[in-house]
Amino acid sequence: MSDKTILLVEDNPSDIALTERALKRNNISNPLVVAQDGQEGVDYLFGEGAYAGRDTARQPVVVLLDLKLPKLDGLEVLRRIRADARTRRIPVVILTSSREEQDIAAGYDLGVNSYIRKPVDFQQFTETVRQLGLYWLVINEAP
Amino acid sequence: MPSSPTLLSWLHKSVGASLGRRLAAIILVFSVGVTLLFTALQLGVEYRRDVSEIAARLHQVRSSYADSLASSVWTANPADVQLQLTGILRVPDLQYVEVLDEQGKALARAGHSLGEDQLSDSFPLYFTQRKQPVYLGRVRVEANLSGAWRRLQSKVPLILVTQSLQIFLVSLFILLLLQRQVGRHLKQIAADADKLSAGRMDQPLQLDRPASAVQDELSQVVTAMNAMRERVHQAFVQLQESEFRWKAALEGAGHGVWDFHIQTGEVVYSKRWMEMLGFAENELPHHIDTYKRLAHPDDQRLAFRVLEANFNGSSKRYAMEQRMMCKDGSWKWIVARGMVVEQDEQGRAVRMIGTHTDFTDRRNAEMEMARLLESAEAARAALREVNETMESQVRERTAQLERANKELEAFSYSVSHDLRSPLRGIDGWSLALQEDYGAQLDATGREYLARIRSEASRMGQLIDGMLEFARLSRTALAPRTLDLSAMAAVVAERIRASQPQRQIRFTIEAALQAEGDPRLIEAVLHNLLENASKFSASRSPAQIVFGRRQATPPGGAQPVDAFYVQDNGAGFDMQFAAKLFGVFQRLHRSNEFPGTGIGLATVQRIVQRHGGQIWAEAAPEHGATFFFTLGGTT
Repeated sequence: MSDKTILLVEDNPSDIALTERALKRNNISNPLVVAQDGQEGVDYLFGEGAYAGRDTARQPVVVLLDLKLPKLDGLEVLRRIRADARTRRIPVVILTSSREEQDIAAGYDLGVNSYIRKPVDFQQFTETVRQLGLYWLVINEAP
Repeated sequence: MPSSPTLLSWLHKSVGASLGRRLAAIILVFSVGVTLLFTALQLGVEYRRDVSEIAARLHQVRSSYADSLASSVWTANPADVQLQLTGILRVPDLQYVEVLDEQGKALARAGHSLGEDQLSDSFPLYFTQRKQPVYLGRVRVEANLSGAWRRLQSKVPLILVTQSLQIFLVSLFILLLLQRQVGRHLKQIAADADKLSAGRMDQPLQLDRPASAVQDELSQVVTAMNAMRERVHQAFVQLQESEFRWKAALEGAGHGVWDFHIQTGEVVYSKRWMEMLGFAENELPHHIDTYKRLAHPDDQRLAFRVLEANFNGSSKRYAMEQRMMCKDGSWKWIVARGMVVEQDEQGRAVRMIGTHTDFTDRRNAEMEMARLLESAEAARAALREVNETMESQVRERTAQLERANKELEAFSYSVSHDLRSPLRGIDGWSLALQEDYGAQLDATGREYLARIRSEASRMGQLIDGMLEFARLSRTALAPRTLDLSAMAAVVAERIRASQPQRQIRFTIEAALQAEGDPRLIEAVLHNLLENASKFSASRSPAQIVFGRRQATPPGGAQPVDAFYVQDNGAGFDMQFAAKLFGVFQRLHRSNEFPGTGIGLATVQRIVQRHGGQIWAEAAPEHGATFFFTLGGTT
């Protein structure tokens, strides 16, 4: 695993594939770690479960987090990220299906950094990166 | 004598009570007695005088005939003697005369001797010879008293009549005199006394006789009576005053008074006592039976139980509430109070005095109040029950609603996530196909692909619109004062920016303010301005106005202050106006004006939630104006 990992917590294979495609097609070559449910995402971040022994000092530069997830839902994952000193400062972008979802997430006031309406496309993604000031962290490879 | 008690009582019985008649009778009886006595005395005297006259005649015979008889006897001349004797018998009342010789042998006689009832006299016969008296014999003369009796008897009637008449006249005179001098005044005094006892004492007694009359017994009686009248009058006035005072106090306060003499059963009921029950003063008998007749049987039993304590001396006061029947048969509530004012030696009540007070009105008011309180309580209970029922219903409904809301929320979420997810795939992968393999498809293939993407996009919009509509319907309002002009300006700028190729002129009235939820009102403005822009797409320039003016809503009587959004676009036929605000209702074909048919339904829902209304005026090809009010429009 190299630095500047992007963690995608998403259970829908189609969405995963589309996100992977969008990133690749837009020349974003940061390693993408996909967690297919909330628990797996949490395990990855805190080096637990399947990810036991992972060096938790090296955390992803951004977490793309779906809300509706098996096991732990997105909001619970977010809550744990914000509750732990190791992960508190990681930018979290919520992937929403609707404005409805955005409202719900905003209502919890859990320090969401931004929202991306699915499917993730290049425009939204770059806009978000710009908003978050993460641009320099995202690896742009020449096509 | 007439003073004997039997006679007095007989008199009293037979002549009656009149003093005059009694007096007359007494006088009559007395005078008859006196008359008889005096007549008897007079007759006795007359008889005595007659007898002495006869005696005197006898004596006269002696003096008249002694000498001549002596000489006749001396001369022994019997014829002469006999002649002389016959002459003697002519003297009244003399009936027998005889001449006796010295041996007592009768020489001559005349008349007949009766032997009884006679007065007799005898005298000697002397012949004087040579101055010497020679005794020759005796002469005896008898007088008859029956003549005197006859005379007496003939006098009796006359004497009786004259005496009686005299006494009767004297009696009558005395009687008249008495009647005039005493009886008349006595009657007047009696009449006056009657008047006095009847309470009329305005005039002092004045007898009908000269005022200068001496102070006799009658005057003393009159003086005494007048003095008594004055004292009685004063006492009476004082009594009246005192009675007036307590009567005024009691009756003025509406109390009737009763005065119960327990042994006799007599009860004096006052005027007010009677009036209270609708009777005139003294209309009912003053007896305890009147009370028993009018008091309610139930109360009466209780009343007499209470009274019993007074009668036997264990209590001196009496008070209770009871019903009394009025003259018209209705019942009145009476407070009866009383106290024992007189007791016998055993302490039992002899006399009680008390009052009756009508408290029907108060009692009725109390009953009415109690009834009202009761019904109010019942109403309160019913209300409470209704409230509880309603509350429980409301709770139940609220719970149902909450459940429904949650379900709706879950459904919305599910739709938003689950339906959109495959759609996202269709859209995403068709895009991928277009981008990655578009070059390998011919024009027709690329067109099909574009149609897939367009339809997917439209479906996404429909889902979004539906979710938005649901969201707006259930989001709690957070109203505050909004600057509608500024909000409209932002929306207009966004629209202009999204369609830079079009010429759109927005005219927005300044300083429009309203109370509302910022996000929802923003949605209203967005939808209406977006609509206006959409339907005026064929105009260049498109003219869109947002402002406020007076307008009359459909079915409304008065113009109201309404916001409006006006365009110069396609407009619509007013006969379809009713369909404007229905969900998924469209007035135009989608190839003319794209749209989901949800926008205006959403707007109407928001306006209604703000307590306002929305309506439109339009004509085909002459633009449309949408009016809306908000509850808090200022």
